[in-house]
Amino acid sequence: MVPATEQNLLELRAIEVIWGPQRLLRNISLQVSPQEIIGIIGPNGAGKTTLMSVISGQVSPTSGKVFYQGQDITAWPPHRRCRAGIARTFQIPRPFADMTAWENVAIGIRFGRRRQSAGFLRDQALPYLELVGLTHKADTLGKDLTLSEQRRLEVARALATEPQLVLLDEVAAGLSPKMVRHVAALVEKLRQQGLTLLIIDHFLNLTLEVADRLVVLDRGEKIMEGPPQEIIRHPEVVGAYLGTRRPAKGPPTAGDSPASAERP
Amino acid sequence: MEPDTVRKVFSWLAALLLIVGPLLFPEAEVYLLVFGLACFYAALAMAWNILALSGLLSLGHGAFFGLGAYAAVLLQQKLLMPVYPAVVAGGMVGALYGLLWGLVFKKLRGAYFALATLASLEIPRVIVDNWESLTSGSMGIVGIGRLPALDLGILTLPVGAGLRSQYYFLFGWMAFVTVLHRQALRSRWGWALRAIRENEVAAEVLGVNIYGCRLAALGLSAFLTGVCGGLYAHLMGLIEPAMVFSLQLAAFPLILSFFGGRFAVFGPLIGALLLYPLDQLVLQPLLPQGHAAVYGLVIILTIFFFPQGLATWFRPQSKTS
Repeated sequence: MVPATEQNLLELRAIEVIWGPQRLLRNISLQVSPQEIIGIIGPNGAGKTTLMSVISGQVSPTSGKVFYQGQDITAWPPHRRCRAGIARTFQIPRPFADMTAWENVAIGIRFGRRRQSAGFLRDQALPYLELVGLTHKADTLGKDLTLSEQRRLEVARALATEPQLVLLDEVAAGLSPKMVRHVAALVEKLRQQGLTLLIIDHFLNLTLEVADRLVVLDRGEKIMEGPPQEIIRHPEVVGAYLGTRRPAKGPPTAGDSPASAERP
Repeated sequence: MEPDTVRKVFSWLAALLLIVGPLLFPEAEVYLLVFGLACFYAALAMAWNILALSGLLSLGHGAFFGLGAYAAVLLQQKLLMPVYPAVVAGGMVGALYGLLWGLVFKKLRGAYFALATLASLEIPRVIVDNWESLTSGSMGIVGIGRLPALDLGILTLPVGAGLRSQYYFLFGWMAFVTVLHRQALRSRWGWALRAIRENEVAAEVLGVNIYGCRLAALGLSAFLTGVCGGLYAHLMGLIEPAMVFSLQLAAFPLILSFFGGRFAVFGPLIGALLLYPLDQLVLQPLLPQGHAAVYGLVIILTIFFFPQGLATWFRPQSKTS
């Protein structure tokens, strides 16, 4: 077997996920270099979130391997991956409902990569809330935040674990163009701080601008990979989105996204 | 006066009364007995709650209790172990059974976990009931001596000498369990348990070792419950399978914890110290037949009117942390 290359922060090798009669992922391989920003796109049910869960450890692949910093982490449980520097957010937010926003973030500070034992956690949590514009909600309970605030809390909490690789699941979905620009600026800033990001972006309103590479999934397979501008012009991609199963609300053609201007 | 000050004064007075009271009224035997047992049930309730804080409600803690009781007594009778080491060993037997739960029930949550624990209460009961050569079966074991003097190095506590010293011993046991219960809420491990019970998946991606933290809670909870079982055998002087492996004993800590408040350090303790004396000293003389119904009534009223438990009334209204 070929040893994992040190230059890659993350490497997936021939990942297969079979769930009952369904093959959720087929033979997915992917290499991610440090400080890269990668967008994962594809129609509903393409396996984007499953792929993310394979990296963060919620889903064990039926076959294939996951390497992180040259180590085989396929068998590692999620908390160990977190402590090694992999953080993720969830598309449907999972706040700690009866904790305040700052306490939500404090869990990441305490148990993430820094494993901080004690101290003034509220003061340390505030900068992360500020990154996502939630400082004024620091003392609001998780369950009392709006959906959009809960999404932002997901990001603050993930960053509080001091990760090297951040997996963002649909952070920009449903945001106004102005908010998308905020998120894009944050993503750029994180990259400059040395982070690597994998972003699921079904509606292509975030990654078209910031991603170095897009990975297109369709029915569990990686059908294409390359620079955003090339990818979105490719007939196969257009087919995957617009082809046989066009959803009612419409794929990345919505006029409210900055991406729409770029589309052919 | 500020409500917060009232709360503090009230709490300190109650604590003072519990500590000094027996010295002032050495003859109040009924009170010494009842409040001693209230301390015992407070410890039992907190032991149960340590697991509940990880988000799993157990209906089978009677298994640890019964195993602890039988192990402590049989180790003394068959292997001639001294009383206190045998009681601690009984706790360890309970903890071993708890770790077995941890392995077998790893994937179970919510009602499924509760039902599985209820079922696993029956297994040791049936074994003890039928292994007559060792346990004398459903006849039970009678004539178990009172707790002997406890030698703590600097002082020797004559635990079994009278109701007053027994009270102080049980009060001390409660205080010890309270410290551990506080850890399960306030320490770093306590934060982990809180994250786990609020959202397991979120907790694990934020670096919380959910299985490890939960196993620690289960092991400690089972150990303390087992020790309680061993003490119980000596407090009662006899044990039989139906008495120690009982659903009633398993549900009692649940009632006290819900009533007092499951997420407050002193919640289960307040529940036990109020409810058990209320039942024994007030209701039993009035209603000798049906006094135990109060527990059913209390749990219904608690769920309807203050689901967070009584302790929320004793707490300042600011945020919990």
